[in-house]
Amino acid sequence: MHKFEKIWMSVGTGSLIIFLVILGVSAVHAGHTPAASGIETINPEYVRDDDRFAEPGLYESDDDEFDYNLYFVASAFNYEPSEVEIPQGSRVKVQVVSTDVVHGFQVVNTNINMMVEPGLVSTYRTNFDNVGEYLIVCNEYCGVGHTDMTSTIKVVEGGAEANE
Amino acid sequence: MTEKKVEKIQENSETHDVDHSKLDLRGTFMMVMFLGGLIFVSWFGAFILFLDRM
Ligand SMILES: [Cu+2]
Repeated sequence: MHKFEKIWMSVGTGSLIIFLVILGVSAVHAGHTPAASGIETINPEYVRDDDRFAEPGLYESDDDEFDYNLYFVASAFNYEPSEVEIPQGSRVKVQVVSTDVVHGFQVVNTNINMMVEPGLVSTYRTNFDNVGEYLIVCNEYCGVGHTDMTSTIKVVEGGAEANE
Repeated sequence: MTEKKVEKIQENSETHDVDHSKLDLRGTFMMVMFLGGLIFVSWFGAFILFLDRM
């Protein structure tokens, strides 16, 4: 084999190993879980019977790990609530359910990007550290009103950090 | 007839091998490394963006 070929093949193999190790570690590191683990199910027809999703929105959390629980119900073609304010610096557990078909739940400019499948409770743990208005969009085609399916998260000053 | 053919193939592969190591691959090497570097940088670009949004 040519000397150069040996070099570029080892560089290629080396980078592949680096990428895979980083991906493998970050898939389970810092509270991340592989997609299919620990999934909570819910009957999509009786979503409203669940206390959390009867009136979705921002609620204080009993859990020490979180300041708030944020509940969302996605249905063709809107999110409920259609707008929500969150104090800056909050540790939030976001839970989203669908009452009909598959929807998306992406909070623009953040890592929150979930599929919302009927029958599953999609959960994301996150901190809202930066003040601003964040658009929520549906990125799973769900029907004619898909493009208009949005909601907004407003991260406002005066959160847990300001109280201390 | 078949024997002759096999012999010819072996001869060819030998000469090919010799030619191979004598090839001037400097241009290829630079291009491969350039593309590799581009992939490397964009991979880490996306990864840093992901970490930044954590
Ligand atoms: Cu949609």
